[in-house]
Amino acid sequence: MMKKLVLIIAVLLSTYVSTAQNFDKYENMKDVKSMVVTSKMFKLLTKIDLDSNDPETQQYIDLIENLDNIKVFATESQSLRSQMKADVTSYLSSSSLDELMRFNDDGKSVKLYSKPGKNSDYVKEVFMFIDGIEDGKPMSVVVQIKGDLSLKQIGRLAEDLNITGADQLKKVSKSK
Amino acid sequence: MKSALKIVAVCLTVFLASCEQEPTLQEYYVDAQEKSGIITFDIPTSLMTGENSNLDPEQKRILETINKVNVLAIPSNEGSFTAEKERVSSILNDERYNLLMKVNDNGKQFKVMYLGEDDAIDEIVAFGVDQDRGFGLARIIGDQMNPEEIMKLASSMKDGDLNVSGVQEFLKGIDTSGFERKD
Repeated sequence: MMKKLVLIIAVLLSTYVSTAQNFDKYENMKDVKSMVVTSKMFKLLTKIDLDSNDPETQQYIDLIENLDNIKVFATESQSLRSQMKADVTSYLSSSSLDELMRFNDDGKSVKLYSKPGKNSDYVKEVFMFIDGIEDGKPMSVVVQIKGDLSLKQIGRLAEDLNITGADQLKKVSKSK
Repeated sequence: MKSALKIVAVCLTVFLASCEQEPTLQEYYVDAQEKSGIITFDIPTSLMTGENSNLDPEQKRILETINKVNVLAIPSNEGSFTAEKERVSSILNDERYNLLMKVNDNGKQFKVMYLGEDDAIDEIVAFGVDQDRGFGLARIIGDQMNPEEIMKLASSMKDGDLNVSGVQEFLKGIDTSGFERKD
């Protein structure tokens, strides 16, 4: 009985310690450009920026309100690029991600994945990995968008986002 | 068996104690005013609501939800730079600060947070670190600030309704020479 109790507490503590997610370790690394935008930011933006009379805009607001976060990590460092690649491989094998599409774009390999959501039009996560040459430099980029996402609206979001990989992301909606 | 329980109890106490409330940003700010090498200043919004501002009562009311802006900065060549940076970072890691966004770009970090509810914000905090130049902390302190109303007000600032010359005069008096990049 006592052993069980100790075990339970140990497990609880260890989950507390290990809640750091896969790619978050890149956040504060030197030689990594990172950007994290939280759901609170999106909620504020919908309050400030958008006029909801137009139904299309309303759909867009719905998308933004249901975003949890967007994370972008980019690096040009050779050693971090191979580490990132390994982390992407292990992330893809550990999570139930479906491949959406992959293509080569101007010297870069682009892979897009999604996590199934409440129905076929919605996903819980869009995950993108870009590996190749950007502006003449070798670069790897991970983009992670979480929330309750309509694939049809992601393209519009990509247009409004000024992030690395936004161009590639636009293609998601075109494929639908 | 009893000793096992004791160990667990001790572990839990330590764990809980480590979660205890950290000093607030306000306390830090007050302390920092006493220290040399740290630049601090307050801009009361009353500088903007003087008699020569052409604000209607509604605009005035919104502006008055913002009490003051306070700014704190330390150049990176200051000996206490690293320690002070850590201190501020650890205060801001408190979960009461709702993170809006953070950006990290080769040794430059920037993050924006707020305290309060999303339609009644008590404080907006922006924290930026540049390893080569220094760090800066800006706080917009208010009382239930509504972002929607404040954005409306900000757009009216472009129309020249708001007389900010008092603030400009004020900013001229601040010495920022410590922050120039030394190459």
